[in-house]
Amino acid sequence: MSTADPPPKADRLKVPRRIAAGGFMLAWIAVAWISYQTPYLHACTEQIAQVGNSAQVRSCGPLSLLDPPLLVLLVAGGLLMVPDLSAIEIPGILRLEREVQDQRKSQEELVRTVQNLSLKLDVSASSQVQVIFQAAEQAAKSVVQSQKSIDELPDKLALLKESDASLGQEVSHDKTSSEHADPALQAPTRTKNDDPDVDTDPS
Amino acid sequence: MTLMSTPTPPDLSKPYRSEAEREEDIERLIACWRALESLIKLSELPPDEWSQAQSELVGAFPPASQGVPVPPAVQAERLRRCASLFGAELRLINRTRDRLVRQEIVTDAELVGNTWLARQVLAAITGRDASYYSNYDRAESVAARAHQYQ
Repeated sequence: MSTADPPPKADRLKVPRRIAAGGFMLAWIAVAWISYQTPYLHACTEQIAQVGNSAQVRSCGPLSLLDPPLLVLLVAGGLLMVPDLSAIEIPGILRLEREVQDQRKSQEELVRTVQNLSLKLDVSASSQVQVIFQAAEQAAKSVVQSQKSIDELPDKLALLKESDASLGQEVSHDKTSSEHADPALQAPTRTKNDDPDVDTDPS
Repeated sequence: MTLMSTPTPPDLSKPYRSEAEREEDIERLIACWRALESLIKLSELPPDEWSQAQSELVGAFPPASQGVPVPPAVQAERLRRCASLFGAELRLINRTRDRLVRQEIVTDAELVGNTWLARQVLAAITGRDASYYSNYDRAESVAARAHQYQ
């Protein structure tokens, strides 16, 4: 069982903050209501009485932006703006989320690039290893063949030496008897190690 | 002209002591192959088409060492017989030479073995001792003379 991380400070203050905001707004409305409906909490101004028939003096002026009716409207409008305020916050969150999404996307692209690069490196390393392996295999075969040829060479050299000796005698005999035919050379002999597929032009 | 002696096989497990030593063997192998290839091509030409230089070159090969002049036709036949007898060795030398020219990997063991084979085969054909071709200019000289047309 894992222990949960403590919530952030902003989250912890969210509920008290909202309660306080509601309290202030209610107080504002209540004060406005009391001031409007009762003789308490009035804002009074000194007026110079008009000299004339009427003894009652009434001072009227345009509604102030903070007069209760307007204030009620303002508060109502403010309340109605709450979702918009949230929406104002929401764009911030959304923007943040979008930024997170962009970050995630770029990270994914980076990961993909690294994976591709890794794959390419793997392929390159693999082909290099293959080339080296083929070269090593070819070299090993070649060394085996060389060793075999080296082992067989003395026999072939001896055979050639014998053949040359006999050829010399035949040529000498031919010289004396004026004969040019050489049956031994007409059909070259083969050794037991000769490759039957050998051609006379190794190039 | 020296007589052929029993060759001492090379130790293929022994690498070259220096890059210069390896380079020398590469030169030897290439020069010996050039000489061998020229002689094989010469054997395929009718002897009456041989130039004076070519006839003199091949005329000095065995069994001429016994002091008896050998007719060019007989020498041509001997060269063809050598090509057949040393066919496997010639193919090995040629393959190694091709890989060297293409700058492919050739191990020390391959180079030691095939250079030794090339010198031995060329020496056997020309009636020399293999040590004669440790100087690769001599193999080049054989190749040049075998190419010398009328």
